[in-house]
Amino acid sequence: MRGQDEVDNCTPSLSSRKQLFSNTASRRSSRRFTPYGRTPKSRQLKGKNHEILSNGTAERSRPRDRRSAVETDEEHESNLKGLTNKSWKLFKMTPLYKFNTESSQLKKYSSQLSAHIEAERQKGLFIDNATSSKAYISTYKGLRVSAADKEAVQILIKGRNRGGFGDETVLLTCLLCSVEMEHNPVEPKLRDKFAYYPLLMVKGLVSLTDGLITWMQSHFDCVITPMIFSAHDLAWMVAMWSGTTTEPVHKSKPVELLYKTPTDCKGIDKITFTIESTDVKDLWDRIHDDKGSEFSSEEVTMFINSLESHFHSLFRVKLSALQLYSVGTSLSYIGDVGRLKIFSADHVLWILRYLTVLSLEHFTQSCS
Amino acid sequence: MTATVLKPHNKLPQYNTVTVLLVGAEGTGKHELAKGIISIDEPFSVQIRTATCLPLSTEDEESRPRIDFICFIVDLTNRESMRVVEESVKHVDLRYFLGRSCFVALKVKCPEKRGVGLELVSEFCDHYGAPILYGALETDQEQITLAKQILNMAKVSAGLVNNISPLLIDSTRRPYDTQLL
Repeated sequence: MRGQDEVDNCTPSLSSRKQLFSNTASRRSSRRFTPYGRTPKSRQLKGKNHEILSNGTAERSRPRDRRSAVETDEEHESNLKGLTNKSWKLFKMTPLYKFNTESSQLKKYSSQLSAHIEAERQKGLFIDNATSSKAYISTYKGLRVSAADKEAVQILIKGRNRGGFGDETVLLTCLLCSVEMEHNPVEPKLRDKFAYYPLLMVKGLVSLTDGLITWMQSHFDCVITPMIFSAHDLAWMVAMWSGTTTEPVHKSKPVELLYKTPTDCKGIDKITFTIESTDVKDLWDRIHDDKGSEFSSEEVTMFINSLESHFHSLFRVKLSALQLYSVGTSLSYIGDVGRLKIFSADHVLWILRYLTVLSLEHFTQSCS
Repeated sequence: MTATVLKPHNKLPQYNTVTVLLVGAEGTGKHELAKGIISIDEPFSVQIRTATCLPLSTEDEESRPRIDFICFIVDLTNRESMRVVEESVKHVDLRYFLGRSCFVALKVKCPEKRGVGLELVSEFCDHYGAPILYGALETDQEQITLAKQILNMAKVSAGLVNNISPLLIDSTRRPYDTQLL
């Protein structure tokens, strides 16, 4: 009995794990002639279903008490709102080994994480930090959309200011989530051992973030790397989201494109291209075919090209020769090193869904 | 219109010489690549011509040698370079796409800086039926590898390899997009 337990506990070696997570043959065959990853020709603009699974499929099928349904909806809404107007740093993760979202397990993790942070603090790693801090881990409802998704998990690290006065303040907020993942890349027989969360969002002190990441990497045997967006990905985002506005168009934020100039161009390091959202919306409506829920790569290219050719005709600067590194729309602001700020609570799921897709693409490409 | 189209067979070839034309936007590293190609020791002489876009000017039409091979250079971090190539390709004779031209995709190693989608490039190359070479020019090694690949193809198209024609090479090639297979 004991022996079997030990066999269960041992982690597969790195090479065998690569095979286990390798994706279907179809992706491999499409990459046969290029060793480099590629993006699909079209992407879903919105999620397929906007209904949120609250507590797994079992509960959904049962007729629910009306009042409790309203309450959970409100909770979901406030949870989604809690993600807006914060600047997050995005990371991508490999599957977590033996990560369990049961509340007793989460409690255990929080005490272990607290101990880890305390140990790091005593080593003197956090100079600018509070006296003592404590970790709280809980599930975060409202982000689970498809059956392949796991319930999101929130990690909060709270502490008192230096000197130990006053109330506890939140030093770090961290969210592990996956929103409308199409398929789970983990093999079915390993799914009870590996929990896959494509996205890790962190807001907090850098030193604490590093501490959290080292703890997670050693504790759950995973690798956490910053999410980096290429100019191509950013072009997709700005094209997909600039035509969708929540508020009346005249009030919403302008669309912003930030370009980095080459290093041999002295005296100027970036060009900010700001366009009124009404004008962008007008252009977007002309380019995007309203019937389909998909957005194609031709539409993206056309959208970006028309903006840049307009800029060229005004200022004689070829923006297409420069590197796009940051985009802002009325929904969100995204930078190339994984900075994210969401403005609209209604579109949190859209944005996180797209980021989930991107992270999943990176993951499956690196495995196959 | 016909005068601006570059043709492979309207001039006599030079003895024991390969002429390569590199077409690419400014700042894509045409000259580094050209130096790399010239530095390779071969028993024939190599001439390189560069252009930032096609069509070539009609002024020095007479003095220009026959162009055996055309390389279209795309810098993947630079969308302008892709646009230049798309425009230039229209001014090239059809026969160049039967094994006498190739596309070169540069800076493939840093996906986070990529501005041109790879699927866009490979789809474009499939439309024209020309091969793509993926490479970089940052180190000498990369430069030489790329230069050798180009020179091997250029050698064939200049007729310096016995019993191999550019058409033979082209007919053994397969498209990049597997959906076309």
